[in-house]
Amino acid sequence: MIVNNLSIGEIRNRLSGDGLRIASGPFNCRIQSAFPELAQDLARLYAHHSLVPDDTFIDFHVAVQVGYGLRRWLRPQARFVVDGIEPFTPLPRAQALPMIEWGMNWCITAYSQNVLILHAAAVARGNRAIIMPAPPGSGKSTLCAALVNRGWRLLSDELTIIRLDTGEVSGLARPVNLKNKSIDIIRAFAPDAFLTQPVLDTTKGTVALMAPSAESVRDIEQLAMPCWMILPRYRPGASTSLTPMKTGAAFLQIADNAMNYHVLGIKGFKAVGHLVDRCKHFNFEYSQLDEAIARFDHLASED
Amino acid sequence: MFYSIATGERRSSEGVFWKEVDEGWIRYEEHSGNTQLINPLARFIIDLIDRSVEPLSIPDIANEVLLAEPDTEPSTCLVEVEAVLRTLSEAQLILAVRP
Repeated sequence: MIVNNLSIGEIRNRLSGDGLRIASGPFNCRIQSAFPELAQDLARLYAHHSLVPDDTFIDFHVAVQVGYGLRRWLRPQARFVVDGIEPFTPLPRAQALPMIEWGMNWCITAYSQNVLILHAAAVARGNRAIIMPAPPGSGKSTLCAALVNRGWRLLSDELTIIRLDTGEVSGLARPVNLKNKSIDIIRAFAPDAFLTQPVLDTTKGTVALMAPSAESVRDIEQLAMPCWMILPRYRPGASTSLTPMKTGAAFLQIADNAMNYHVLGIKGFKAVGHLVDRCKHFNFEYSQLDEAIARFDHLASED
Repeated sequence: MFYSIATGERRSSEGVFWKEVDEGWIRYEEHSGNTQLINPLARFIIDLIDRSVEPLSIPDIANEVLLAEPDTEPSTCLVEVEAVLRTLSEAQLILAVRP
C-alpha cells in the first residue's frame, strides 16, 4: 500500500494522530504534524512511497508541532521534534514543510552510523550511479532535478547513503529541495513535475520541494553501484565541460563531503577509498541543462 | 636543523593508514582523524625519518633521496627536500629539532 492509496482526509488524520508511516529506502519514518495544511503537499511529495505497517520498526519518529504559549497565535511557529528532542530552534509556521525535510536529513546524519553518508546528490541509470558532492550554490540540486525529469532515477538529492559492506548506494527518493532561481528554472524545464508553493525567507532563501518520479520511488529498493563521482558547478554562460579529476583530489572531495567520515574512523577511510577506486572522477561545469543532461547521457552510454 | 617524528613515544606508523592515489598517497591518522594528500617524495621522507633512530639532518635526507633516485640533480634535490621538510613540519607530521 502506498501513500497515494489514502484520501487526503486519511492522511490528515494520520498526521494529526498516530502518524503517517512511510518507507524511504533503508529508513522508516513516522511523521506527525499539528498543521493540517501540510497534508496536501505531503500527499503529493510522498505519493508513491510505501506505507509502513503499524508493527514495523520505525527509525525516526518526527513531528512538527505548534509553538509554545502566545506563539500559538502571535507569529505562529513550528517546532521540529524527533523522539522528544528538539534539535532546532522553532521556525515560522510557513516553513513547517521544509522543516520536516531538513529534520529528516538531520535524523539520518545524526543517527545512522552504519553507513557512509555523503552530502551529495545521487542519480542512477539502471544500477549505475553518479554521485555529485558539491557545496550549496553549485547547482547540484538543479542538475539533479533536471536529470530525474529526463529519465535518470533519483537516489537522493541531499544525502547519499553508501553501504559499508558492499559500497552500494541506497536510494531514498525523497523530495528534491530547490532553492531560489532554480525553482523557476525547473518549473520551466519540467512543467509536469510537482513542485510545492515556494516558501519565502528561509535560512536557505526561497525554497520549494519537487516530488520524486514514480519510477524512482518504485525502484527504491534497487541498490546502485557508484560508477562516477562528478563535482558539478553552475557558471552563467559557461560551455559544458567534463574534466577528469585525479584520485587524490577526489578522495579529499569525498571525505570533505562525508558527514560521518570522522565518526566512522578507519571504516570511513576504507569506505571512501573503495568509493574512489570504483568511480571515475570529474569536475563538471555547465550553464545549459539540456547540454548537461546530454553529456551525462553520453557518459552513461560510454562504458 | 635536524628532523624527527613528532609523535613522541609511539612510532608515527602506528595507527596510520595509507592509500595510493594518482598524486601520491592519502595518509590517514586514526588517532587524530586527520587526512592528508602526500606526494611521493614526502612519503619517502616520512618513512625515512620514521625508520631512523636518531634525528636526521637535511643533507642526510637529501643523500638518501639521491641514493634512491640517482638521476636527480643534487642542488634541485636539496631545494625540494627542504621545501618538503618545511611543509611536513608545518603540518606537524615531523618535528624540527636543534642538534
